[in-house]
Amino acid sequence: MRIFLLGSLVLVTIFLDTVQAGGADGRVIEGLPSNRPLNIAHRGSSGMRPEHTVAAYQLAVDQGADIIECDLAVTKDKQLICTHDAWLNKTTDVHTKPEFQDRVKRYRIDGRFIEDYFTVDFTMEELKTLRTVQSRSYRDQSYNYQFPMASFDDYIAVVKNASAFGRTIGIYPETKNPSFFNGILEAENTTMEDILLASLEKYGYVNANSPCFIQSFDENSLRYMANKTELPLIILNPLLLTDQKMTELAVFCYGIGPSKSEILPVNPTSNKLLQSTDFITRAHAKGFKIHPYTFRNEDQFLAFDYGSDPYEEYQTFVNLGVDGLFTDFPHSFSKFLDCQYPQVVGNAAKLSVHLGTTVVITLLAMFLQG
Amino acid sequence: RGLPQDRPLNIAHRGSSGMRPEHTVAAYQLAVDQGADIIECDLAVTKDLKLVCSHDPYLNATTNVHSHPEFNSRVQTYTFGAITMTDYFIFDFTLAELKTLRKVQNRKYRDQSYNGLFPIATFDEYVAVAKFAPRTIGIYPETKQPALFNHFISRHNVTMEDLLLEALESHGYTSRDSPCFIQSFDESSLQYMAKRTDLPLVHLTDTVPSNEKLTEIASYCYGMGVSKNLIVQVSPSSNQIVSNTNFIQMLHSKNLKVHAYTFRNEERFLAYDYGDDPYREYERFTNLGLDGLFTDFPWSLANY
Repeated sequence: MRIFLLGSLVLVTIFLDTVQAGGADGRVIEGLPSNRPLNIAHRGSSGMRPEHTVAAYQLAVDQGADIIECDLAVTKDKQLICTHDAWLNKTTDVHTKPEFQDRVKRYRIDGRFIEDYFTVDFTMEELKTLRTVQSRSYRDQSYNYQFPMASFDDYIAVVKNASAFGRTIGIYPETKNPSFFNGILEAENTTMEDILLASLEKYGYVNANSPCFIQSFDENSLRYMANKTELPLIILNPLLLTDQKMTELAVFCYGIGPSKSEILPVNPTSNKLLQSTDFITRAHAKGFKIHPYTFRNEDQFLAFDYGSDPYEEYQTFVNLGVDGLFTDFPHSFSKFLDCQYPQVVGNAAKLSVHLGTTVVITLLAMFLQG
Repeated sequence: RGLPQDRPLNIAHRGSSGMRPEHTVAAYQLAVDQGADIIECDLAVTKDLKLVCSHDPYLNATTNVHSHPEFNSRVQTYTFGAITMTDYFIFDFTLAELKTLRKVQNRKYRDQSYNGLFPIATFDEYVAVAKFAPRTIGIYPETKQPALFNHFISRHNVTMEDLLLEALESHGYTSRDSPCFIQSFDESSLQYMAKRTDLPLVHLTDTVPSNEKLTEIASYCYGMGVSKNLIVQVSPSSNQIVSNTNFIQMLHSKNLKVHAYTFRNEERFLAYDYGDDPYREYERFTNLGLDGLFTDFPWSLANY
């Protein structure tokens, strides 16, 4: 009997030793609610603060988000900075800095030529001298020029701060334009993915159920990381999603982040909803979690059927079975979830259950020792 | 009587006007279906002394009248108050003629797919929506531009107010607790009706009245319908909330109910502090003690 148990233990250890993304296995993620949709703050609380700033991330946490999302870019000194684009003019005051005038360059990204100031031509220290602006003219402009860009470390710090208060906040980093950045990093014998995984490991995000989702539009980026980490991977808006392709992706992707219109398309001329698709049914059948993007409160983003009411849009998608959603307005989604799921145990309650279990185990151990 | 006593009232402003052309039976009915407590209407008077529901005395913005060549000759220029307008005016049309027109959604950023489908609603049709509802639905008619309409119908020796009160009586709205609020910006219109009906009157205003004026208003009015900005001040330049005022307390201290206008979901109508979330706006105002809200989106307020 003992030999059998020992043998099994060895086999299990060998199995666990192979670091590999587990795919669409529906595993429970540590510290996050598992019986209601997840509130993913898209670029932080970006509806109310300049996106990808500590202020936006912190506000999202304060407003009740479960997860704060960030897009990554790489700096000249191979550090990770949170920004949606590799270019800086739209979201910062870089063009007002005479010392950086000579940094304007032309690069090819995703088949387009773009002339701008790029993160890869600035060190982190230089980027930190810039100030962010609200790039959407219809949003609050009163925080312009107040906040610096956030580094990946700054972003993690917001999460670590929250955990000091007993709240688990998930992270959701994206490898954005990885082929562009990797083209530049090749000379340094590293990749964007390696830099990210090293950073995640440093912060303790290593397990299959760590509250850290790595997302990308780039399947190759995810495949590369699937061989080096157990962390849950999310494929964004995959195209030509045949049954076979879904099966293939399910091997290494925990979930899919589709655009909203993959699930519920809208007629662009009438701005009215069309028939919902079978996307969620098919994806759930393969074991994927589904986190669609992006939910915004402004009426220009809402089909008329919702009566210009973001809560009606949330209701519709929650009824369709989404497992979480990316929103620029985590405050609103948090309020919606409070009403829809009043009986769901929140993080604070989970913490006390955690503590309680610890006490019991300690007492048991003491008893057994005695 | 019959309306909720323990929470603010959901007053569907021009019906569910965020989602259907305003002042149509479709808009009124949708409001009822969506959970409104009250449907609101603005009144106008036709050439043959019929009451119809319309925010304005002119027709071009909210109907397809310009595509009716038979009415080309009806275009006229009138001055009322500070406004001079050239348009088609309701008092130059009989009800039968008006009924050949169809309504459009005059706000470009709202759903245009119901344009040309619905006719103008008469006051009787509006009341019928309330009467045939499965629960008590209040009505909230407004004597709008009474001086203008009374000028044109004076030769018949009748006033807009007389026509309204007569219609209300025929529909059974006669006591001080009937679910019917009569509203107006025009004080003389209200005072005229105060002498002739027990129905609750609501004085509309977009400025803060003096203490003496408030005492006077309180002597014959049930409440006031006030602009939102008098309760929560928003800076027009920064679109941020400046402060709350004590306007609601002032009115409550005179025993006046307070209904505020107008709550709209579109972000252009929301201060940034609300995070483009109409529910946060409702929350702020209901926390301040507001007794009723005029909203273009009764569905959202009902949800809230």
